[in-house]
Amino acid sequence: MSREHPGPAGLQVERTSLAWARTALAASIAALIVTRYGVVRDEPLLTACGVVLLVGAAAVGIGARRRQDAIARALDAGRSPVSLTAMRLMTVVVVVTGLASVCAVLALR
Amino acid sequence: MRRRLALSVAWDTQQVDDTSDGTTSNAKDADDGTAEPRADAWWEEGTDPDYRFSLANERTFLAWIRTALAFIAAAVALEQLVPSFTVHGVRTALSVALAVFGLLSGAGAYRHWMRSERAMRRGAALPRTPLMLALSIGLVAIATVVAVVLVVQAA
Repeated sequence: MSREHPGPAGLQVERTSLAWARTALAASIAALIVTRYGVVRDEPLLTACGVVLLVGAAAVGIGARRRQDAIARALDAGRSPVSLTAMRLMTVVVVVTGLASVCAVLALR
Repeated sequence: MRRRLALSVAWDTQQVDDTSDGTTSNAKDADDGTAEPRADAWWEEGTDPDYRFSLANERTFLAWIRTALAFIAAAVALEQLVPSFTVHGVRTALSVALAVFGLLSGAGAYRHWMRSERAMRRGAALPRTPLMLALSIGLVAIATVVAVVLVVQAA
């Protein structure tokens, strides 16, 4: 993975990758909660929101995997591992999830 | 005040550093005036920080994101799982408050990540974030409302 920086860099990549995995898991749970209430309360709009959020959570999961490779490659090449795109997409997913949940709460009321 | 000073010092040292950088010297020459018509994007400022710091910053961002997602999940779960309070509308108000905190944490996560990364590129002091105080006060407020409602309901 990271030949130029053996031990510590490997752990850095692993730790960051695990943080992404936990985040993908949290996004999935939030998406599942919204989807479930859509189905249980028979609110098609809410269910649709939930499905969109599930797709977003899946994207975070796939992105987590790709991010791990990108970080390892950046470190191998001696470049900064920072990715604006990853941060921005993650923020968009969270904001959309938040807005959907506000709609969900108001619809369930 | 101390932070502002650190920032300006870092900015000065960065300007000096940049003169030795052949690839960006043209852009920097144009930026010498105070107007700075074409300032570089913040992620190209200064120098790349230690990769460990960048990755730590990324993990902190993700921790805030998970906090935001937890708030959001709590908002929907509260509305669905908790039996309605006797006081009308309190449950919805609490849910919306939780969701708004989730949104704030999520958006604040990006802002804080960006400001931290930029500060590290400039060699400046790390920024503070109002998020922690805001969330603490918010949580205490929510817990207080819940406690008061429970007491009113029991009475």
